[in-house]
Amino acid sequence: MSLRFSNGPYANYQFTQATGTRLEIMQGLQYALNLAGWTTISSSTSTIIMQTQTTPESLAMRVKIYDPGSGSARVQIMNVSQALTSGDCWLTPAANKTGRVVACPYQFFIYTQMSMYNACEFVAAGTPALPPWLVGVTTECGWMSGNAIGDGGGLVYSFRNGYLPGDANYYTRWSGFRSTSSTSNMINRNANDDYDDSGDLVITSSVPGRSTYDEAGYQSSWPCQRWIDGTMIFADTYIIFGTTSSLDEGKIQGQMWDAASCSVVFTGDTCLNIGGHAAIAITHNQTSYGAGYSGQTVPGTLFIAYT
Amino acid sequence: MSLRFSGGPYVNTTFTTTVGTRLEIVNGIVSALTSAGWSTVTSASGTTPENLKMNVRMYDPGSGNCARVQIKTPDGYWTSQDSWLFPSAGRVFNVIACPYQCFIWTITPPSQTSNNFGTFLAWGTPALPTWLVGYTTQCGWIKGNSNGDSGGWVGSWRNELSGWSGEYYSHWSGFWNHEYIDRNPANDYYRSGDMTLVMQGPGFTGPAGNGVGGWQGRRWVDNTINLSDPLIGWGASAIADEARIMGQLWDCAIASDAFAADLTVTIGTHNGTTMTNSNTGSTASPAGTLIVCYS
Repeated sequence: MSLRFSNGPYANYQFTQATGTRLEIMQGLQYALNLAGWTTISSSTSTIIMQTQTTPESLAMRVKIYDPGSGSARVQIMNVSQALTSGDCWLTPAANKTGRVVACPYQFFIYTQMSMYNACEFVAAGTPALPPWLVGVTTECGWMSGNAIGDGGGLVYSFRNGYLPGDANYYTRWSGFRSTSSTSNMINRNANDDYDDSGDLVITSSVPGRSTYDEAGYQSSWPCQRWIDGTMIFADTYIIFGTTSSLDEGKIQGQMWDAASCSVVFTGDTCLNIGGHAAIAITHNQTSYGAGYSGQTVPGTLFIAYT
Repeated sequence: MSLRFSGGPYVNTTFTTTVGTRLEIVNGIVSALTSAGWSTVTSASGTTPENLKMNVRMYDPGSGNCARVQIKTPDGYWTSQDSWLFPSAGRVFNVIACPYQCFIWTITPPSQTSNNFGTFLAWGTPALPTWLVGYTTQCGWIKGNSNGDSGGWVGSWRNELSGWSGEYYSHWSGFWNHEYIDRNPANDYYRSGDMTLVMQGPGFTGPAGNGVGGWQGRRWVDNTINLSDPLIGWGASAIADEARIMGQLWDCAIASDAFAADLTVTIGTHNGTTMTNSNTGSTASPAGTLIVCYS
C-alpha cells in the first residue's frame, strides 16, 4: 500500500467554548464535520447524527453526538443502518476550553492541546481505507478511540500518547465494528485495570527487529528511526483490532486516512509537510513506554494531514 | 519504497563439502557467485542501479575449522573482520544469490539452532531509494552466525529480524561511504548501533496479556499476510551510534507472521524461501519472517 489521502474537503478547525456547555461541543464538532463534507442526518439540541461520505471502497459510517443531560457530551459510532451502536466516548465541556477538530470526509480527531494528560478531551473515529482485495469483502467498518474510561475521569492513553491507545496502568477505551455479507460485529472495549488483549486497538508503524538496551541492560529505545541522511520514515498507518472480540487475534482492518506513522518523536501539534500535504502531530513526545502486560510501544508520531 | 527485485541472474543451489574441507566451501561460493553475475576480482558484486558495488573475499586460512569470508569496499581501502563457514564431510550448504547479494546456510544441521556455528552467512550491497543516489557512494554488509572459528554460535536472520538471539552475542560488519564497523561482541547487550532489519508492524511490542497471544496485526482481516520492505540499518562507525537505515535488501520481503524456515513461497511472480524460523516475537522484537526470492 502507500499513504492514502482523502483529498478533502478537510477541516482543521479550532473552537472555544464560551460558557462550557455540552451543546457547544456538539455544535463545534458538527460544524467541523460539515466543513469536511459529512452529512447531517438529524440534528437537535440533544442529539446530532452525522454520516461520513462514502469512501472509494464503498464504506460509510455514522456518528452520534449527544447531550445526556449531565456530565460530558458523548460520542458513539454506528453503522449506516444504526443496527450497530458503540459505547460512549466522553468530551467534557468547560468555559474557555479550546478544542481542535482535524477531519476529512471519512474520519475526525477532536482534542484539546493537553489531552495527553487530561481525560475526556480526546475522541477520534473513522471508517478506513481498504486495499483492493478487501473491497466487497468488508462491507462496513468503523473505529473510535477515546481517552477516558468514564464520564468525569479515568484518563487512558490515546493516539495523543502513542500508537497503542492504552497504557501501563491497563486501561483503554475504544470501539470497532466490521460487517461482511454474512457477519456483523461491534466490539466495545472499556478496560478498567485489565491487561492488554490480543485484539485491542493498535496502529502500525515502522518497527526495527529489536529494541536496544542501555549500559545497565534495560530496554532503552528502538534503532533505525531515520535513514542515513536523516530522512524520516513515514509508514502506512494500518488499524488493527479483533474481529468479534478483544480476545481475538488483532488483525489489520484497513488504513487510516490522511495518516502517516512517523518514525521520529515530535511534540504534539507540530506541523510539517508530507509530500505536499500539511499535517499535524497527534502524538506527543512518544519516546517509547511500557504498555499493557509486558511490551513496549515503538517510538514515533502519528501525523494527520489536513490539506 | 516497494519490494526491490534485482531481475537476476539468480542462483538457487546447493553445494556439498564432500570431504569437509575449507576449500570446498570457497569453491562452492565462487561457483554460485559467478553464476549470479559476480566477477572475480577477488570476487566483486555487480553494480546496482544506484551505482553501488562491493567486493568479497572467500579464503582458506590454511588452518583452523572454517573457511572465512570478508567484505571489502570496492576501492579496497577497508576490509571487514572474518566471518566463518564450518565444513564437515557431507554437509550441504544452500545458496541463494543475485548480482548484489548472497545468502548461505545449512538446513542440516539447522543454522538457527544454538551450537551450529558457522552455518549461516549473508552479505550484500543494498538497494537505495532515489534520494540517496549519489549521497551513498558505497555500502555493504555481512552477517554471520558465529563469533569465532571454533565456536560461539550467535543468532542470525534465521532466528529473528534483528539477526540476534538472546541478548548478548552478534556478528556483523558494515561499511557506508568512508565509515566502517566490525561488531563481534561477547556478552554484550543489543546496542543502539547494532544491525537490524526494519519492517512495518504494530506500534506495540509483545504478546498480549489476554487472548490468543502473539504479536498483533500479523495478518489482514481476511488472513492475507502483510508484506513489508526489508530495510537494513546499523550504526555507521560505532556501536554507540544511532542505527540508521542504509538501504533495502534485494529480492526480499518481510512477512509479518511467523513461519517455519525453508518453506517455498511465492510473492507475485517471484519464488522464494522463508529464511527466518518460527519467529513469533517477544517483548523486545517483532514477529516476522524474512523471505528471500530466487526468481
